[in-house]
Amino acid sequence: MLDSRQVEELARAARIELTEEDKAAFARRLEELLAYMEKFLAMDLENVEPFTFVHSIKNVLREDEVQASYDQETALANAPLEQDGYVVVPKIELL
Amino acid sequence: MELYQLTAHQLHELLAKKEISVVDIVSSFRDRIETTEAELGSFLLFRGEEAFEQAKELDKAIAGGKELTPLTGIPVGVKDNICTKGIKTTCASKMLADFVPTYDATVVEKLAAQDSIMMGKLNMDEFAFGSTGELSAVKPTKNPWDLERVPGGSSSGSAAAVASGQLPLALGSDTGGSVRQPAALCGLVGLKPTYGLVSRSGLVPTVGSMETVGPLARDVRDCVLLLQAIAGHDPKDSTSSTLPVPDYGQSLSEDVKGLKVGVPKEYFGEGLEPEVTVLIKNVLKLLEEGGAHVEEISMPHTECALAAYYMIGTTEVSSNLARMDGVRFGYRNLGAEDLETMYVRSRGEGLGSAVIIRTLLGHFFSGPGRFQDYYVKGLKLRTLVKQDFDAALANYDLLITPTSPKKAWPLNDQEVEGLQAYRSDICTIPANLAGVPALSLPCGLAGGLPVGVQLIGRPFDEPTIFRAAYALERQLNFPKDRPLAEVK
Repeated sequence: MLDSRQVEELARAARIELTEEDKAAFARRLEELLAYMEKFLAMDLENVEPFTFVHSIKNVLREDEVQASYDQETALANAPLEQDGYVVVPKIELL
Repeated sequence: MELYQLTAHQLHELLAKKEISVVDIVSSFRDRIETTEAELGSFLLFRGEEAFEQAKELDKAIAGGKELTPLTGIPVGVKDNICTKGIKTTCASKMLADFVPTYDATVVEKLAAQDSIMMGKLNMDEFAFGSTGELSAVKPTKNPWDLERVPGGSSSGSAAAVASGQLPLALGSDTGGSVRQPAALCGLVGLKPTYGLVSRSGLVPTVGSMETVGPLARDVRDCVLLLQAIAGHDPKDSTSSTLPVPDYGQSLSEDVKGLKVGVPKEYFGEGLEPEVTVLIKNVLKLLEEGGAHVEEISMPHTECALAAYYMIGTTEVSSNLARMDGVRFGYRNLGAEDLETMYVRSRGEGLGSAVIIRTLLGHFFSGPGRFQDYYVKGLKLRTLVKQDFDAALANYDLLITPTSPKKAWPLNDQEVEGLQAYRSDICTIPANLAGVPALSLPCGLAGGLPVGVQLIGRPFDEPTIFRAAYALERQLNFPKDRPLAEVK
């Protein structure tokens, strides 16, 4: 089973601050799912191709033409903090 | 008879004969919503005033000679994970509580182009994760057949609204059963279209390789009307098909003679309520009497579906929901003094527990050192499930299964998150893994509660599904009007 350090690592990768409840609930779910999946994970799948896509379609590209996009005001309409046409975020601490 | 008790095609007929106006239609549904909403909780946003204004305009235009489409003046509602320009789209999450899209989803544009009336945004399990409606961060939705029970999910509001006569039609989304399962629990016709038939542009993405937008309606003809309006290629969705869309109305014949029907025995296992089995067997009997060839078959990898779904699904969730970071839109913790803290607090506070757990599971299944052992194995299991469908549908025109192993259960009765909850989608998930179309049709009542039968077809062969569903609907005489009369 995962130790608390590994849970912390996952939470860091997911950029989510966890409550103690979330940690416990996640550990319980994971344990439960892994127990359930055990027999499927043990199946011999050596000669099975991983699934790629439902239908056989090729790359989908549009013509490389200039098209209208959003203006700045529209693009920023939902930003929690904005100033002079920029999104404002807190300072970036280099880790 | 009140107008809100009629189906969309019945309303259209009356409108075409000029016996009623669009204002009459909208007023009836608006009143119905106002009297029932406090009990049902199907709406997150109700546009009573705007809809009424739109109805008046439309009546003027019709008087001036504007031609009617099949959906002119028909009220519709949209699940709240489908973007509506200038109208809040929240996914029933604190994360998007104030999010106002700057564009319409393609399906919303298409509904508007048909002059339907957008009545509002419908409740759901947060980010479409859940099977009961109880995981909405705003409020739970109740089942109109029994207000003490769940309506199913995650398109909980869409199903409750249509079943109760608040709306004749609604759109939901279906990633693992989220249209079909609530349709079954609320006595409605609900379709998960073939992957690629309906554009997902503007659907808030969670599991891109499986999710679809689908109609919920009170009868097969209405389901056809709504699908016809939203199907077709969209350059904004690169996964959308360029195949021509058939005229689905043509498939509404009552003839099932010669249809080859497979009944995969794996769907009738442990956990299926005996009353559900009885009602599905009755459907098989009706098909046989109508001249269809019905045979039991085996789809041996059916039981791999749930494991594949969770390994692939949660991985896609963890990637897709990375955009919910509080920077360009969505909830932000404004107290954080550096960027990293802002990310982790905004996400921790904005996302509900079920969403957080799925995100973490996705990081686990696809993380360094585990990708091959879990995610890739999930993809291989998905191949096996898909191969079962390819083989079965090479020999059979249609597959019949239950939609939900259980009828609607009481609110707060079982854990809404976790393996038990995941298992309630066991009959619907395989069609999403394979990308095939599947429809839930009400097939009877058990203890006063609706039961749904699932009809699964070949990719893009919705017409055969509709043909069989329409024929069955004639014979089953499901009492779909009951909650219309009973919910006050």
